[in-house]
Amino acid sequence: MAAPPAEPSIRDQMVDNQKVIDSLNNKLARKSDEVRIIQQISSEISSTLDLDRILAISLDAMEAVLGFRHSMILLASADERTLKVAASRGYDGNTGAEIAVGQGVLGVAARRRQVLRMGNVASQRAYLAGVRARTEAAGAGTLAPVAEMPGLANAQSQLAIPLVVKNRLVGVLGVESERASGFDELDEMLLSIVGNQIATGIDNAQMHLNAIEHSRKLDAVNAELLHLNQALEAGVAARTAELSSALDQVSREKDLSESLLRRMAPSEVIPLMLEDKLVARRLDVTVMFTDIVDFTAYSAGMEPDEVFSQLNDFFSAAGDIIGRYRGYINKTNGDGIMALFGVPFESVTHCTDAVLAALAMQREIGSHFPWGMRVGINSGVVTAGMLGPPDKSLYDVLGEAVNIASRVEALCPPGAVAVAPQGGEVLKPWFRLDVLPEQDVKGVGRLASLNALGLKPIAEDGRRVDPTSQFAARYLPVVEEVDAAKRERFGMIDFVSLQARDLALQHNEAVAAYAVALLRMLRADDAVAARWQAVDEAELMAAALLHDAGKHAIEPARLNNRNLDVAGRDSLRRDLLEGTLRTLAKIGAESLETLITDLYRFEATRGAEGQFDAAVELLAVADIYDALTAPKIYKGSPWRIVGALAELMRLPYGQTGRRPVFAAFAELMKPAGAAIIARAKQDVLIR
Amino acid sequence: MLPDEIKPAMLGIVPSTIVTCSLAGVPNVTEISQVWYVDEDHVALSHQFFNKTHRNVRENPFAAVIVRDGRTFQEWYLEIQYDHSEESGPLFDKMDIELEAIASMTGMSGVFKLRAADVYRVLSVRKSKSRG
Repeated sequence: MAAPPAEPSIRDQMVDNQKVIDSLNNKLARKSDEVRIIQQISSEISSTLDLDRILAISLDAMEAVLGFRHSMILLASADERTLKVAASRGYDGNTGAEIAVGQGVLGVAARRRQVLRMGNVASQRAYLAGVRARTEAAGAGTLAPVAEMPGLANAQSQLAIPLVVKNRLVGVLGVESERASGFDELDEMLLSIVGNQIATGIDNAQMHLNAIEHSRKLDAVNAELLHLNQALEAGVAARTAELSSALDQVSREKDLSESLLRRMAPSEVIPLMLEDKLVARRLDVTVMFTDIVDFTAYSAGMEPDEVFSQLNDFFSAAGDIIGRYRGYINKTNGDGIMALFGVPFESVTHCTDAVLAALAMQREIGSHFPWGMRVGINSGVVTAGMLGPPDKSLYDVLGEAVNIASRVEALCPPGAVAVAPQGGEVLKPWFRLDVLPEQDVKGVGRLASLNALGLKPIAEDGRRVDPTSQFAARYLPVVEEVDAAKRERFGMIDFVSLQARDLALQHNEAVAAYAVALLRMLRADDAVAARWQAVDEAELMAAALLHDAGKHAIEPARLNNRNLDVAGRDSLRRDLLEGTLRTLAKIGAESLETLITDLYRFEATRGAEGQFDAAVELLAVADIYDALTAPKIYKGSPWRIVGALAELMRLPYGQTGRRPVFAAFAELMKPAGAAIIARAKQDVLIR
Repeated sequence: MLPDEIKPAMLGIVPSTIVTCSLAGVPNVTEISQVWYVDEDHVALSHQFFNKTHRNVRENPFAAVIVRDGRTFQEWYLEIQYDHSEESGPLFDKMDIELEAIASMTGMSGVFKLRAADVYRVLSVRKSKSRG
């Protein structure tokens, strides 16, 4: 135990005081140095984001500023399990050495995130090595191997500063010395502060590096994605192109095979043909032969391609016309055509269709080609089916009717349409016919063919217009006005082929002429003039011409079906109106929609549904009258004029008094001298 | 009681010697790695194993230690008396972390583990006459 201190002298006291003051001054100087050092290091560190530079600045400061000759910075792995020497000063080839977190002074400081200052490391190690040796000698279990530590082999003092930012272990800063107790509390404090700066600097730099790396990776990923996308797009494009080309190929092949098939048979029977279910059958058909007069002589001086080009133009025009009348070009032979009407299914209009097609062709040839054409037409029963060797079979017909048609054609004068005599009965109601000179026909005998000159004008059709009627006497010019209007306003519509579908030939023209004539007659009558002045004559005429323009979209078989029930007729009327409205829209005649729709309503309700516009009544009476009186073959005998007029007034919508327009129409159309009195529904007196 | 002068001898640079005695009066001398300076009146010894020293001071709290200054090899004789054990707190942590640091270097992390910091009251301190 120490002896109690003696009372010090004043001098001693002064000396002691001076010592204390000096020591305090020293400490103070060191402190302010330290503050300056710390500030310097931290400002340098925070001025860069370059990790290597931060490590260099930090370690250079260790030696140059703080006087630590051996220093190192170890960086923690991302999982904070290992520490690797990233930079060091005062060693040879230390960088890259690795220790586990928790191993040694640096490792334990890192693991515990606690500054660790030891001044007896070598001694303690030596002591523990002894303990280890004794433990091993005692055979007390297996011990872990002695760890290889980076740094001085015989460091007695170590100061380890964990570098931690926001609870993340960044690494550890270590300084060491071979001297015992080489570092004091002040060193510890100083390095702790500097360590914070270093940790923050490293963390920022690493985050920066990570950001750069992240962005680089993102760029790489983006580039890869872009590449993949491009590859994908290219792949998709290539595949699409492939598929599309395959589709085109299939479509071309389909078109090709269909066009090849259409060369063999009418398109309607192709499905049956493909299934091998097309059986030969008897059909009532019309056969048409055409031949160009002296084509061989005409083409003698021409280049072959010119010949072919002209003929192909002709065939194309002829095919178009024949198709419009539902005919089928069976074959061509040189400049000749064999066409069939009424195949592959029954048709009631095949004979008139053939004649109308022939007339149209003659008109067309006459105006477009410099040659004459013969046409021979004959109707009769033939057998139709696939004919020829299996690889070259064609849809063809066999029968005497074919031969006769061919003979008739041979005898036809150029420009004419020759029809075998038996066609006369069918054609007479509609066509102006001449009789050709009787001639010998091989295998038939003498034959007087008919020459179809054209459609019979309404005025010449005694079944429609009585020559003694007011209409015939005063209003025939209206017929020509209608023809002019038809050509000028509706040249785009082929009325004849439209009417041919249900043999309502010249129906539209007749309705237009009757309605306009009736209007003019009514207007002339002062007593009722006011109502008729409001009717637009041109619109009335147009509506009459177009009132069934939707017919082209309806199958002729449906139009010509005589056995339709009420529902069937209603649905046909609806479809007809719908098709007609579509056609009106197509040709820009929407202004007629109301008028024509009202006409259909009038006819569907037999005029019972309230008041109708004057124009509707005019159209209705003209339409019904022509339907009754127009020539028909397959619809039964037409009404005689007087009977039809009486019927008109007998029908509910024509009752006298309710619709004076019907009585007026009777006045217009009745034969002179005939009186048509309709007293009651069932009681019409006809004289 | 402990002078500042003694601190270098308590840095664990040179092993210290401790003498304990069982209740039956059987003495035991052993070397220990470090006697820790706690404050002017207290030192601490690390308790890692149930060895004879540990057993003796639990029976008979009086012990004598010799600590040596690593630089001068000046010896100090201390009479101490076992006071209490600390299994947590700043003293324990300080001793624990240093022990772990060294043990982990020598592959003895699991073996060398601080169980407690045994705190002794210093009864007397005496500087040896001779050095070494």
